[in-house]
Amino acid sequence: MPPLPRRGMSYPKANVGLVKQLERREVRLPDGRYLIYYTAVRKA
Amino acid sequence: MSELRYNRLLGEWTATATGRQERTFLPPADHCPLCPGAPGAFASEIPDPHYYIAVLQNKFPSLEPDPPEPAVANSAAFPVRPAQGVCEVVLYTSKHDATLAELDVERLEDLVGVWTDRYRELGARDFVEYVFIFENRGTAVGVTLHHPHGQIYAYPFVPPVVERELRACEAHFDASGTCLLCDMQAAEREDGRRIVGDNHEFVAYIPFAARYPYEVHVVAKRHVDALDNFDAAQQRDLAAMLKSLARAYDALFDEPFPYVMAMHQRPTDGRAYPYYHFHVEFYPPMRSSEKMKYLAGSELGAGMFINDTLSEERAAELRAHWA
Repeated sequence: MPPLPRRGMSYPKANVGLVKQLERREVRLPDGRYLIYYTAVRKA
Repeated sequence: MSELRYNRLLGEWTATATGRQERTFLPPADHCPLCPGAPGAFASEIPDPHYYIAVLQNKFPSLEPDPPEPAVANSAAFPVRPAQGVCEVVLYTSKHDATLAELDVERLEDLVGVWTDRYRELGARDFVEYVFIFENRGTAVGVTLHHPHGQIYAYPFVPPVVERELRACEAHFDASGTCLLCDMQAAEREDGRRIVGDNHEFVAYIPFAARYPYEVHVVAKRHVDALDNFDAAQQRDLAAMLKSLARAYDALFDEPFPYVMAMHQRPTDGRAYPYYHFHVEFYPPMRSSEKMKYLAGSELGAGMFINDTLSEERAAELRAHWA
C-alpha cells in the first residue's frame, strides 16, 4: 500500500496517461436548463 | 418551491421540494422524456435525435443554483435556508431499454469520465460542499423513469451518511495512521469469504456487517480519495467492475435487480481528507427473489438494521454469478 498523504496535504494529482478524452457540447433548453452532450474521442 | 429546513433533533437538513409532486411518473416507452427527440414525435427533454452520453439539469430539482427564498422566515426555533445546490440527470445511453449490465466497458469507462467531469465542475462551485453521484434502479426503490440513467446532487453541506463515515475514518487515521477503508478491504481480501469479485484495481465485497442481504461495496485497492485523482487504470477497472456487478445482480434471480448505488468520495468543501477513500455502495432492497427487505421499526425508529442473512452466504451466491 502506498503511504498516505500527511494530514493537511491534498492527495497528489494523478490523472495522467488517459488514453481517451471526452468532448462536451453544452446547449440551453427552452426553459433555461443546461444540457451537456458528451462524446468519446479516441486517440489513435 | 424548495427550501432546506433544519431538523434540530437529528442535526440534519431536510429538503422540502413541493414541485417534485408533479414529476413525470413511469411514462410509456414511447413517451420517455429521456429518449432522443425525433421530429414529429413526443416532445422529449432531449432535442437532438442522437446522443452518446448526456447530462441535463433535473426538471424537478430539490436543489437549485439560484433558489427562491424560503416560504417561511428563518428563526432560531425554525431554521430554514434557500435550497441552493444542483440536481443533474446523467443519461448513460440513448437506448431506452439498455441496462448497465449490457453496456460495453468502453462506454462505462466514458461514463466514469463524465462523472469525473461533473465532480470537478460542480465541486468547484463555491456553494457546493459535496457532489453525490448515485443511481436508483427499479421501481422497488422509487424509480419514476425507466430510461438508463443516474443522478447527481451537489449539496451545500456534507450529507450525514458521508459525515458519519468521515468521522470513523478520521478516528481510525488518528489512532493508527492508516486509512480505514484501505485496512478494511485488505482484511476482506485476506479473509475472502465475503468477496464477490475483483480486478486489478477494485474489489467488490459484501461488508462484514452489511445492512442489506445483497449489499455490495466496490472499493479501490490503491488509496485514492476521489474520481479526480483516478488514473487510467482505475477508470477502466471501475467501469469493468460496475459491469460485472450489474451482470451478477441481474443473473441472481434472472431478472433486472433493483438497487440504490451511492458513490462516496472526498467532499469538495476545500478541506483535505487524506483519510477518506473512494468507494461505491450498492443497497439492493431484495432479500430473496420474491421478498423485499423493508425498513421498519428497528431500522427507521432506532437506526439498527436487522439483516436476515449471513454476508458470507450471500457473497457465495453472488460469486457464482460473477463473470
